[in-house]
Amino acid sequence: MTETMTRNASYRLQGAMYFYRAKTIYCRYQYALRDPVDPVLLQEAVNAALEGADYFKMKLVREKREIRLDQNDQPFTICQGHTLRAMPEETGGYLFNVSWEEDTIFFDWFHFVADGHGVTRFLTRILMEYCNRRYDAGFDCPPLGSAPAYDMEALLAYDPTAGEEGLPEIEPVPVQAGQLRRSILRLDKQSLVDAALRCDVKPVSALLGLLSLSLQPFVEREKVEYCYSTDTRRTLGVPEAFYNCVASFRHGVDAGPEVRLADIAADIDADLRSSLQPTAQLTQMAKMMGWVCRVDALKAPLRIKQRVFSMGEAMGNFPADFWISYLGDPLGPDRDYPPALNDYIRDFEVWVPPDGASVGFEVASLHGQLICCIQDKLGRAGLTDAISAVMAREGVQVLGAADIGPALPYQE
Amino acid sequence: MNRTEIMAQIVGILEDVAEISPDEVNEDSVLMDDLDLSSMEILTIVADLEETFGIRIPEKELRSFVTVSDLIDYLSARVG
Repeated sequence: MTETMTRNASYRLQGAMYFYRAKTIYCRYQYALRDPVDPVLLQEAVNAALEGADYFKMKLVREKREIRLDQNDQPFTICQGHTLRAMPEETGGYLFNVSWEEDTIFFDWFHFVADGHGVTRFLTRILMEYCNRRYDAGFDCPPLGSAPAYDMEALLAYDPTAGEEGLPEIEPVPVQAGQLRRSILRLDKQSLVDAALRCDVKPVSALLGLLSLSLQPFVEREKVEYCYSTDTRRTLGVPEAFYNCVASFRHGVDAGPEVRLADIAADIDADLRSSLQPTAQLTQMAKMMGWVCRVDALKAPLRIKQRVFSMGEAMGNFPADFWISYLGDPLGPDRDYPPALNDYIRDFEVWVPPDGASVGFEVASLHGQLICCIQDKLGRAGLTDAISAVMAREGVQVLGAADIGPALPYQE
Repeated sequence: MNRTEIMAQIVGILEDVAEISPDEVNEDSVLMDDLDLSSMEILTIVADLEETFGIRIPEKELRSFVTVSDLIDYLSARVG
C-alpha cells in the first residue's frame, strides 16, 4: 500500500466533517514566550518537528466528487505577523501554519487535520525543538507517531440512527449572529477548584454552571443550553491519534435569577460524567460519523455533498446558547511533556470560532490561571462583566478581563 | 419560469439523483412513498434544486415538501 493510499484509507473520513461543514473552522493557539522569538530558530524547530511528525505532511486534494489526501513534499515556511491565513490556500498546501510576532508564536490549523487534543502534541514538540535551539533546554524529541485510524465499521455499529428514515422532527432555529467580538477572562484556578469542592463536583462542572448562570440573563429564558465536546481517544483505543476524536454533547439547566451554583452543579456534573462513559461516547460519535460517512458516500459533486451535510446538521440539531471547550493544559492535556517547558511559556490564548452557538468559550489552564477566551457572535456589551459578577458571587476570583476586539479573519 | 419548466427540471434531477424514470413522476407523486426516496435523496434533490434555480431553501421548509407539487409550488413562488 502506498503512503497516499494509507493516508486516504486512514485519515480522510476523520477530517471530512470539517470539510463538509458550511463554515471552515480555523483554530489558533498562541503561546507568548519569555523572550522575543528568533525566526531562524523557529523555522529550524518547525522543520525538525515536521520531520518527526510525518502525519502533518499532508495536503488536501479536491476532486469533482471526493476529497483525498496526498503527501505534501513542499517545504514549510513560517511567516511573520499575527495574520490568520487561509489553509491550505495561503500555506503552501499545508493544513496548518506557524507565524510569529514579537514574543508570540501563533499556531493555526484547519480543523480537518486535527482536533485541539491531537494537534497539541505537535505544537508542544515545536516549542520543545525551539527551546532546545534558543535556550539549550535539552528536551528529548523522539519521532511522534500517529495512531492508525480507528475501525470505522466497528464504531458505526453503535449508531442508533443507522436505519432511520425520514427527516428529523426537530425544528431548526438559526444561530443568532452579528458582529463577533473577542474577549478574555482570567480566573484564579484554585478558587474555582475550591468552588467545585464545595459542591462536590469536577472543576469543569462548576465552570459550566457558572457560565450558565452568567449567560441566563442574556438568553432571556430560564433554561440555558450548552454544548461541549469530550475526547474519545482512549475509548477508541487510539491515544496517540492526531486526527479528530471527539464526541459532542448537549445539556440544559434551569439557571434563573434565584438559582445558585450549588443548585445546579450536581445535575451538570452527573451529565458530564455520563458523557464520559465509553458507551455514551461511542454512541454519540457513531451518530456524528455515521452522518459524515453517508454524505461522503453520495455520488454527487462536492458542493452538493457540502450542502446536504449542512442541511442534515441543521435538521438534526438546534443551536445551543453557548459552546465550551475545556482544553486544560495547553501544552498537553495528558501532561506528557517535560515540566520545565512551562518555564519558557509566559501566556497562552486560544481562538476557535463558536460553531452551533452564538457564543463560545475556550478554556485553558496555565500558571494557576484559567484563561477563558470568549467569542461572541452577538458582540454583547457587558458579557465579561456579567460573568465576573457571577464568579465573584460564587467565590471565584477574577484576575482580569479584557476586550480583545473583532474576530480574526476567516473566523467571522 | 412556469410550472411546466420547473417540473421538467425536477424530473431531470430525480432521474439523475435517484434514477427515477420521467414516466413515473407526476405532480401528485409523494416523494417518500410513491417515488421511494430516502431522506438523504430528498436532501440531495433540494441541494440540486438550489443550485439549478440559484436560491437557498431554508431547512425549516424541508419537511413541508411531501409531494412533487409542493416543490413546484415553492419554486414557482420564488422563481416563477
